[in-house]
Amino acid sequence: MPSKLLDIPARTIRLENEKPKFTGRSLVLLNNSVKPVTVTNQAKRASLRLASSLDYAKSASPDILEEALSEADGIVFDKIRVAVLNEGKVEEIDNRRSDKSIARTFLNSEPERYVYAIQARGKKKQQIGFADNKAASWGMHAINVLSSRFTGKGIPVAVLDTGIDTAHPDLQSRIKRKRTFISGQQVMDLNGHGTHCAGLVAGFQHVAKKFRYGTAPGVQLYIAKVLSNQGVGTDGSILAGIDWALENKCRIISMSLGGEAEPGEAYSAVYESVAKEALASNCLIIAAAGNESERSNGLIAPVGHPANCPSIMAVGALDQQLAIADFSCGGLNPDGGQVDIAAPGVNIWSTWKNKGYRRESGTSMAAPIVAGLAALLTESDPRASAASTWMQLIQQARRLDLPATDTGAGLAYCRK
Amino acid sequence: MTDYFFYFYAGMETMKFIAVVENKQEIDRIAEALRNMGCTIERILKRTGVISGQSGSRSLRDLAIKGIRSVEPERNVKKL
Repeated sequence: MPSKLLDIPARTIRLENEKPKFTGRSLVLLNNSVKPVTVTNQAKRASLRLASSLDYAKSASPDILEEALSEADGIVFDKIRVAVLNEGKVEEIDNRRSDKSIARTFLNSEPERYVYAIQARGKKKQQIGFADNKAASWGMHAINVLSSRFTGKGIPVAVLDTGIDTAHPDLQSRIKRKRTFISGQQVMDLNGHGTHCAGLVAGFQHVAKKFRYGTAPGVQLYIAKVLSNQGVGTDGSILAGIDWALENKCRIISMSLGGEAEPGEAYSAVYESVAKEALASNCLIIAAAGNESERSNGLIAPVGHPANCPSIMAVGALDQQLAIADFSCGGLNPDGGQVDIAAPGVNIWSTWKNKGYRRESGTSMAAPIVAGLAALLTESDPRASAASTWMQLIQQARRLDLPATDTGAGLAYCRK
Repeated sequence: MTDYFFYFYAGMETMKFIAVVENKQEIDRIAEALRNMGCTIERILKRTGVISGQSGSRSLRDLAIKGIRSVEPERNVKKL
């Protein structure tokens, strides 16, 4: 395709993305060892009148370059030993390069370029995003789970959330045990959030559309209702849910919940102790990093509680272009508080209350996807420790061109 | 009665707490000790060594008795 050309006064400039590359003027590199007065004299021999930047040091003009170039053929910046010449003037020097004095003074020249602010990296990535299709949701494609021969068969996975729609046709048969830790409320999920998260771990296909959206449909679900139908809970109910999951020998615990952490805030020593106990008991706790960031407004919030504990795997959220989600918390706080890995978390299809389905966004969606991947790894190597499964998730992650403080090891990725 | 007046005049409000013990074998004994200090014990999680409850008139620092590894205020959490 021919390049687009644009005529501007006195010059024709090649364009890329409507932005001209060259100004028409020239930059000339000066010999360091030649005195300024010699430069001026050699320029005169080439019929050029050069101003010195020193002459404009006290100028009131906001643009001394424009001022100097309107008064002379060029300007010499003495400190950096570079001259800028008006359009057409460099030829006066180039035509006299056979003169050794001139050639020794004016070393080489090149066109002066326009420079532009660098565009955000995310712009380019918008062209290569993942999308839902007939086979699966975009998140399943992104983590490459369709290539796996494992389903997490028989692996006990606990989902600590608002409960589950116990009558949902996609999930009913996968519920091994369930218990509520919310006084006065049954496990039945009247919120929808817990059902969505459980679907991302253990759902398989949309009943009618045959559309894959769950990561590990072979797992056994252990459902602990630790958040009320209003979506809130306390540390006490969550710790009770973890305790129950360990009693039931769950290999993975998925927690799409948390509270805000302040910049500089330490992690909970109680949760860290419990998470270490879980790892020692061969159970990996995976938690959502938090949704408090507003990156488009320049605000990145630290990873929340309890995902900020070093022994809990914190999961950030990615969008369909594999850019960090606007809301996803970042690894700001020292001593724990980092994001360990990232997964799809924007516009994610899964199950919902009342036998329904819907799309949701949040690090809540990313965490159960990683929990499902952990279940596939556990099935592939049942004797592997929880710490080993953690390491495999990190090692198999797809590296992203994003800060590790946002996405840790990168996109959770299935390689088995 | 003494505890009540201390609580009343000091203006201290009961605080919900979570704590983890050093030795899980001793969790019942430690929970009982906290009860004797005026705490209301809500949960004793033997698998993980966690006790949760309300501090009564006591401060969190008071609850860091022998056998408690760490104690902190209970937080609210929400779906993300």
